[in-house]
Amino acid sequence: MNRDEELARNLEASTSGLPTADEAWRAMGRAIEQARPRGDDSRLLARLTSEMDRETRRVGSNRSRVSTWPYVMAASALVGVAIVSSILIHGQQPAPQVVVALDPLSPWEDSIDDEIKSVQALAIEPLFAMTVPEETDWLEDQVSLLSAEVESGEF
Amino acid sequence: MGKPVDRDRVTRWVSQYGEDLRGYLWSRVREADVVEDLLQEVFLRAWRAADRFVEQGEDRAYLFSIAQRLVRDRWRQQNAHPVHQEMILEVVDGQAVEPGTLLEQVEQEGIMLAALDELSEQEQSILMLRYFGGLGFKEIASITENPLNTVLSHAHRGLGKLRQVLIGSASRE
Repeated sequence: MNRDEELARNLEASTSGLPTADEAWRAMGRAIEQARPRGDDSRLLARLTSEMDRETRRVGSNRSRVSTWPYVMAASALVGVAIVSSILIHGQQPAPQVVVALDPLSPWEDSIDDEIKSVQALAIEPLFAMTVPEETDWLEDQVSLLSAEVESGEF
Repeated sequence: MGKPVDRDRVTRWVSQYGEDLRGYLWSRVREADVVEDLLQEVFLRAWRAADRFVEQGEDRAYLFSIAQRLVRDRWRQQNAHPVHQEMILEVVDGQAVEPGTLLEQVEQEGIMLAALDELSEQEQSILMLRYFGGLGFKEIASITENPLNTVLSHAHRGLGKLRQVLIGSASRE
């Protein structure tokens, strides 16, 4: 429908007693106003105040936590070194639980059980092994022993 | 998160725009509990981001833009029309017909609400922002991120549909 046709139709509607767009707008408004519930602003304000208090406390708490970043960096470095050394020495990546347990800020830190702690020790062990020359000798001994067993047919 | 606005301003917002925003949200959602939750979220989001509020300038348009976005997200999440025919009938049946009020008028209001529900999301959004927000079409175009011509076209089409319903209702009387 083009604009002329629309105007003609509006004119026809307004002169034939049919509702116009203005009347439709007003009817819509009346329908909404009759049906919609009124709220309680004092209750809303109380809820808002409580929520703003809570968020303000949470933001303050987060800001104080930001100052722990050097510890986070140090912990991350420790985890990284442990993973690399574990790969170098054992040729395999430590289990994900180990990485979690090594992170001092991990939310699971308090809940780790003895089993995970022992795995954690295994993951840290290669870290010390790298700094102890005798460990290399021990490994060489083990390889020699194994070779001898293979050669003698005992293996 | 930006710097929060002061709480006195939030109190003024509630007093000045609370009822209109509530009406807007109700017209789009039709669930009283959800409306109150969304209304709280509108003010909280506005409170959290004073810097964005300063950019936007006008309080009313800013608050309605947040409300509009919340409703749009809800529509997308639900991916369905939020109002059921039963609710519309409840609105008609639940009306307190005062002395002197014509039953026909109440029925017509129910029909108008049902017709409003049949509009597209954009048509509803634009008409309700206009009705409750009292916003100009340029502001609505900015809030809904649509070109002005598109907004005008949706408004015209939406109002045309309501008018057709009114014509149909009048012709049955």
